[in-house]
Amino acid sequence: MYNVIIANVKQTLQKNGGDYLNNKIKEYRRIKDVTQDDLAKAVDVTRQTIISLESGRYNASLILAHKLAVFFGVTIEELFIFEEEQ
Amino acid sequence: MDFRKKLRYRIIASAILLIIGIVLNILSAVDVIKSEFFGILGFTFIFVGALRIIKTYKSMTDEERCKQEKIKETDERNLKIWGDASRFTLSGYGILVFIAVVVCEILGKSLIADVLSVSLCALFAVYLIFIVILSKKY
Repeated sequence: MYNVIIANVKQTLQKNGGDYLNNKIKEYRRIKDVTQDDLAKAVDVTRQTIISLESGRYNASLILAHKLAVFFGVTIEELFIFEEEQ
Repeated sequence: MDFRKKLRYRIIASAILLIIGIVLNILSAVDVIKSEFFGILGFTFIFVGALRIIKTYKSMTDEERCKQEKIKETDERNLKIWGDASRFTLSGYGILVFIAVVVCEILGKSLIADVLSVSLCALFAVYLIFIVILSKKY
């Protein structure tokens, strides 16, 4: 129940004109076994930005999205999932 | 712009502020300026200028601190927060001044109402100028 509420809140926060952006930063970070601090240093942002991105409170710019994708060795589309509202 | 260059400019600006503060204090002390306001303003300039020089100098001499400072200042989330905060502050200020103008008119304080109205119009004019400049930039 708690998870459903959190997911709904996240979805509401991420919504932008009916569309919303999700990301897999946390998953890829765990696969690569890097801390939020290490990732932040690698892409020249603060740790707080990584936390906000992972929790869905903030959407990355195209430049940051590119840096993150390069860091994880994936495409932007694999890292960020753009979902149009049905 | 290179961040170190930016820090150098910041030190120069802080030094100018410090010098203005010292000059204001001297002029106030020798009674060239009669108002107490400028003396206090001078102290504030000295305090802020000195503090900024120390802070910026520490960042310039310490590589790790410089990097952290750069990340903090260029972090896109921070920039968005600062931009949004400025926008909300400006909107709030505009609304408050407008309310103050109406209240002053009701209370018969026409001079204050006029000054506030002009400042509000000036603010709006600056806003429009920036809209034009930024529209051409982007």
